[in-house]
Amino acid sequence: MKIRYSVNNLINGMRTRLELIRLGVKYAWFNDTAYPLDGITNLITTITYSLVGLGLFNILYRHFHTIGSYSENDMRFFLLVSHAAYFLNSLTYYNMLDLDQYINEGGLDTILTKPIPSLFFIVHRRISLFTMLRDGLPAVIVNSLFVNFNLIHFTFGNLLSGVVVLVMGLFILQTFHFLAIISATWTGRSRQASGLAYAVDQAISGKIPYDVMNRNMRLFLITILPVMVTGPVATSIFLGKGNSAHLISILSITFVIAILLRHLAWTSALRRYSSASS
Amino acid sequence: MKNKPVIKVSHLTKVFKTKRKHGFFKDILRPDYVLTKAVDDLSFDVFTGESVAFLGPNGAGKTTTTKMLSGLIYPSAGTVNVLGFMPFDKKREFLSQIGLVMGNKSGLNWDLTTRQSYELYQRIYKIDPVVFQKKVNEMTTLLHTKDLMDIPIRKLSLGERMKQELIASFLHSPKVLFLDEPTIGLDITSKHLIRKFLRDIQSKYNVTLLLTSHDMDDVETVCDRVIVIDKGKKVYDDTLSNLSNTYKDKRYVNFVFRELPPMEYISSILEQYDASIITSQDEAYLVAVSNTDMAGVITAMTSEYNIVDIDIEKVPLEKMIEDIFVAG
Repeated sequence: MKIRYSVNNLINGMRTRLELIRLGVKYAWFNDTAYPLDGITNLITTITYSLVGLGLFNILYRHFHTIGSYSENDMRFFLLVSHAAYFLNSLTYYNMLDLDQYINEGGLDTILTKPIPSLFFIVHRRISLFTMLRDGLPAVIVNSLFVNFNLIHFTFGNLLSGVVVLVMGLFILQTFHFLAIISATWTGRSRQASGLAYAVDQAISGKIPYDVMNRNMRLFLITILPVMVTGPVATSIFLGKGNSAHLISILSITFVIAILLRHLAWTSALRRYSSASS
Repeated sequence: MKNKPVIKVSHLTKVFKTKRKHGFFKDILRPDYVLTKAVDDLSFDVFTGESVAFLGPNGAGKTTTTKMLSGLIYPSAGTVNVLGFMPFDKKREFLSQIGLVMGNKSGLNWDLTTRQSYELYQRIYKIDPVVFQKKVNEMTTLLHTKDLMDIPIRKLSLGERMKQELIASFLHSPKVLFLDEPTIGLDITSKHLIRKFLRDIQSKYNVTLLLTSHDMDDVETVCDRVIVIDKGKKVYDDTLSNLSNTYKDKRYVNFVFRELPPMEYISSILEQYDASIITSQDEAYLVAVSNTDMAGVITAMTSEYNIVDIDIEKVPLEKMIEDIFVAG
């Protein structure tokens, strides 16, 4: 009886979350199209960023044949995966940034009094597929035009493992940013903390391949400071450079810890939340 | 009306710990915290279908209490039970039966239209489409907002937006609705319309309302019962009619003179009766007079000076509440 109740609860919870994702996509479309001219600059920025990255690799590889076992083509593929991971992460990142404001201005009040999983709702409130496609797709296409896929030896196992790592990595990275942002409940404001987390993420995640690092640094950057778990680790597995079973085991532990930390931080933040005065 | 309590509050206390600023280094080395009791040993029951005004000066603890009742903040001591639930547990069954409207905070997404916002609420609260449509029609008619359905919330005026907030809060037929200053900053027409709407919907659907407001017209139109708190403590709890009854033998009389007599002259007249000056403004004196002395006071006041106008009115609710604060 109790098991059936728990299973029903689990199914209902999943249904609610799927419905919230559907609504997040639907209402993000309304939001995105509410300001149709906004975002053109984002498009220019992302394409410029890709071209600058590709140019830099071109200059570097005039002097080196490989860097940490990465050829220029591997490096271009790394840039492509990192870019895709960045845009996937940005689907929910900006929703989390709103948390700082919600906590300070009491906007959380109107969410916490609704019968929905509040954190899930906040994180998936707007899933801006339109913005992601508008800003990200052209840059990813530009990147992919420079990759010679014939030179990369893909296997089904590596592709599957890479996708699993990418999905787990997105959640772990999201939790890393979430912990920085939710600190606002204790400190009053978390713009500096979230800015620092973003800067560290951007400085490492899309710029340095995983296999270039030494062993301790690798472990550190996929557990304690998990900014390498999306682009760098996924690329390493896609390219068949890393030991995918070993990496998936470590990331699974990090993934479970991330779930627990996120839950603990949110529960504790809600207990501490005093709600802005009227 | 009184059947079973939907809200039971017992010895409720909330203490906030805030850091006193002494400078950057002192704050780090030796932080100094102040404990502020926002709500202090508060107890009361609210019954199904009651419409209760929660009154008090700024900082009295009204909003803090409302937030504890709606599960937003955790009590420091005491117990709260709303609809059989401990609010802070935030159970879905509880949250789907309450509503919260805050005059100074928007629960609606600014970039969505009213129609899209309502549809979002329909999904969140899993409202039957037929019931949903019926309610939207009924309430948009009552608040005259049918023409605003396809306009983004950000383009609505404050009054129009508040009407949408109220409609949205009633769509899921809440059993208990918390209203925190719902008419703040609104023009007089919108205020009238919203008060009438709240009264109509409350009595039709037997919703239990807990209203916090500084506008006594809101209270007189919408509520049956008044709970007054000051410094976190309850200082008065009774029906609005009982409160009015205690002032039934007293009236406020506004004497407008052609030329304002000196205060000493007016005081010397009133000394002889059960009467006192409330205010003196421009060419007028506002005087509180007992019904039995009414004729005598009016005769005496009009004997020496020319009167332009006399206005007799019931003691305003604001004055009654003010007296409670003074007594409390």
